[in-house]
Amino acid sequence: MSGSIISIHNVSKVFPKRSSQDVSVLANIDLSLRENEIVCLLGTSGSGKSTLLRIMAGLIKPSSGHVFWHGQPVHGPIPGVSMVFQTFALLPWLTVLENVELGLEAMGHLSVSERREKALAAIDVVGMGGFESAYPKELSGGMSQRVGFARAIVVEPDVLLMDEAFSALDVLTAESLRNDLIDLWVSQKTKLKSILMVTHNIQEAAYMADRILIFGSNPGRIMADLKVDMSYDRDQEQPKFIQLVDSIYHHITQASESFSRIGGRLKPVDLHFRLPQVDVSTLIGLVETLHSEAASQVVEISELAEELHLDLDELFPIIESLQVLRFAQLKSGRVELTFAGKLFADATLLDQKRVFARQLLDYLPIVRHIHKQLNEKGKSIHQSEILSILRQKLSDNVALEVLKTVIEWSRYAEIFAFDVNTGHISLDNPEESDQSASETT
Amino acid sequence: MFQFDIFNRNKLSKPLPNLWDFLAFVMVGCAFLMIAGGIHEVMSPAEEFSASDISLDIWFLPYYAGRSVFRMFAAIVIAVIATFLIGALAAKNRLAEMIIVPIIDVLQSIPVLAFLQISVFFSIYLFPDRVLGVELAAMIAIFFAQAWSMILYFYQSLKTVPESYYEMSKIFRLTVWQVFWKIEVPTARPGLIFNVMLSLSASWFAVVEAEVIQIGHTKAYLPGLGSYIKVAQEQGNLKAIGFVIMTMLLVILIYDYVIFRPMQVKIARYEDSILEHHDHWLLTMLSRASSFKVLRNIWPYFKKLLLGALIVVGIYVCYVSVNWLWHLMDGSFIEHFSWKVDWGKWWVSEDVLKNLVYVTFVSAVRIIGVLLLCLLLFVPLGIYIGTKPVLAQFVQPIIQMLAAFPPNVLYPVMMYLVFEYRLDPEIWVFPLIMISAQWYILFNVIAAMLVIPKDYLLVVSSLKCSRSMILRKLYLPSVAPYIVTGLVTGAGGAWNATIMAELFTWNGKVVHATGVGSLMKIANEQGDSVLVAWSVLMMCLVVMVVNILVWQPLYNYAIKRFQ
Repeated sequence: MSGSIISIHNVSKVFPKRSSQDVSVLANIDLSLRENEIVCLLGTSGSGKSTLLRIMAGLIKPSSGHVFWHGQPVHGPIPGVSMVFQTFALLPWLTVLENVELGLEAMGHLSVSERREKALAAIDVVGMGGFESAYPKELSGGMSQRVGFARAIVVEPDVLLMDEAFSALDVLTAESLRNDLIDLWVSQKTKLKSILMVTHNIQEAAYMADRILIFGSNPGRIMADLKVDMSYDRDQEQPKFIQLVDSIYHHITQASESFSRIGGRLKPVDLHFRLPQVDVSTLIGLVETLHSEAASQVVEISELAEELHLDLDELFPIIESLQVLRFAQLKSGRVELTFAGKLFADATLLDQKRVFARQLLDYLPIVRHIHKQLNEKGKSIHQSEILSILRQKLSDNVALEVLKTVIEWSRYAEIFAFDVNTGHISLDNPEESDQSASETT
Repeated sequence: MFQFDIFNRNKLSKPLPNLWDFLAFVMVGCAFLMIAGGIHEVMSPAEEFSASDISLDIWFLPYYAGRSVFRMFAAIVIAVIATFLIGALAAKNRLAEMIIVPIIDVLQSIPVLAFLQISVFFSIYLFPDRVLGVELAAMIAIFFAQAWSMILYFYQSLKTVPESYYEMSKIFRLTVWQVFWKIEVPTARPGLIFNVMLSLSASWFAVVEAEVIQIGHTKAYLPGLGSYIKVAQEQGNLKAIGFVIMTMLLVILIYDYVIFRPMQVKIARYEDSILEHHDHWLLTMLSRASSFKVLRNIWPYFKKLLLGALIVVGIYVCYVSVNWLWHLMDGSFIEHFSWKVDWGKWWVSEDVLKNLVYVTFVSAVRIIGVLLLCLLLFVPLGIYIGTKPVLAQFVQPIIQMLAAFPPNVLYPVMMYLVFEYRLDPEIWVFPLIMISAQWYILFNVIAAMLVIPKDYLLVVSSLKCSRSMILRKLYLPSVAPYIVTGLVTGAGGAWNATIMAELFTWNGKVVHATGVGSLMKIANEQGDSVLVAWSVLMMCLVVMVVNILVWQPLYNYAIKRFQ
């Protein structure tokens, strides 16, 4: 076992809030990055894995706990660490060569010609030779990220941190870039000793990592540490690879299941539940897909992800929403429609709205709260009132997102109306009153 | 090829002079002569600056144009430095932000020429026996005409620098200095250049006006285009006015072509879509002339030299200001202007105050009228031009040019007409104010029309909507927020113009339109600084109140409702 390069002990991160409870993003994390390994942090978005990466890079200070670089405590960015960004972070006013040279610019001891030589070499290594004088606007996403890699390795770092480096690229480009990175890693042309990457793509993690850390959210923590015992000529059709992917799915769903259940039953959510941002149409789509899937209406989640071409990041919020509304439930890696879910899938458009409204009122306390307020006060309430309730336990941005989702779902269900100009939530929807009138007759 | 040159630069051991070098030599030589000449004139001992020193001979026009451009250029350089310093300070420091931003917001709404009165006081006091004093007063007025919007823009764009750039700079451990020049300034650059171009009109306006400075009961005429216009106006020389208008147009054209166009081309190279080819002979010269290649190699050393020079100048400015403050406390400043801290002197009688309120009201109503007239004429015109993209591409640079033309250069022509045909000044002051406001509205409407998504146009044409329906449902809502922006800038221009436009002079004859502008100007000429101060105060108050009560809510509403 080789020594650890970066290690963190008992790191937590809390974002302070003025008015109410602080928002905890990371809780008590221990992690060490050893020599000669690619470690992958796998988790859904908003789970705090990017925050963890930035703590390890020295960009963010942890609220508590310590970061060590070769056993020495770290304060601020570490010289031997370089990073590749999801958004590439290339400066549009500099050419490819100037962008790569920028990485070297802070190293005062290099002469202009040495700097140029190193930059040209790094550009060649990533296969971007010939593009030295191009501006970033002339490059595709894949090429831009190659330049991002060149800039990262030109400073000859020990550790490379990758923050969703492939997620802004299309499938084919991402795959070729992953292959080239693995080749570079295996060939040992660089001085890289270790790579830590953050991703929400399960295939990507299975393809690249020596070690996969599965990340759970609210607050972010490591749920499982999977050692991958495969050489780097991995093939997605290989039984061993498929087995690995399945086991990753298993770990993730297990983590999610244990979180959402109490004693085998689904846990009811509270007033401040952090509702995932999911479209109504997406919810309906998935329910209908599940309904048409098979007679049993039980589907393996890994199959579903593959069939719908959805990432972990995209699929889990939808399933979580369905589960909250009791349209479906997750059981040992499978999704199963509930009675309400089947009813919903079979119903006509208008009846679907009615079923949806009932589930919302029954299972989402915040919707029930608004409905009750409206019925008691009679008139309308302002969105800020609801926002202030959500803000008691959620950060400002998240509270706003949750409110948006609540309003969208409730508008679809015709529980209440919302006027964006005034910010008022009210019952006086003309269609609504017509409908209730026709219902009473 | 261009790229080839760059990458083989270190292999070219001996750059040979070429044709581009010759051109470069001529241009650098001219610039050097102009700067040296300007500095020499400015540093020379004070003269009398009487009107008789200004010759209306047209062969003097290039010299006067040079002096005006020098003044303008010096002011822009100071404004850019101030922008970098103050803008960065406001963006980086929360305390500074809380102080600077509201102050600039207020300063921005004060008519430029109000500053002229203030700047005259202390710059002449600073350098009583040098031309520099009077020059400085003019430069400060020009500086005030454009610095505020630049500072605000720079501050705002620093706030929008993507977080990933900062993270990147920390990972690669760039210094604060490197981050500033490599990341922050380039982020702001395109908008900043556009900002300077837009405020060019305002600053030319100030150049023309600031060259004739009222000191007590006498006027100082600084050699320049502004003084030339004033003298021609006083002597009733229509031919000279015609020549100076042409000169002004030429200067603006050259300015645009030699300074702004290359900058825009350089930015377009990395910003616009790939297929367009951007070129400008100045940039070709910069990249081709061998002498510039040598220059580029010694640039790092030169940069250090420049920085050193700047620091020396900074220290000198600090020394002078401390000195000035010292004198101020010494009491000699107060003696110098025979001021007493006698607040009673600063009060005006109730009648004067009533009259002041009345004339300010008249001016305000007139400006509202002007703005409505602008809307009535230029919104339909803008929409019409905007529906024809080819026409819009053609007229946009022309409008930009016209907008950069200082309206006060045109005033004498109108004033001549008023006297010649005995027109009513109360009515004919309208067009004078209008030319200061109209371009902003037209410009914004056309811009808004051009950014309407093509899909919307397809929808309305596929639905076979009637013309009036398209106008009501698509065009007007799309241009509404832009109209508000245009109105705000236009109103600023109109207030500035009010001061100059309400007083008609030609060949020694004077008539005036009722308004706070003419009141202020007459008071200024009579050396009644108390009344000037009161009317400036009154005007600022109205402008600020209107900003807060009308423009800001209107703007917020338009943004929320239509975008």
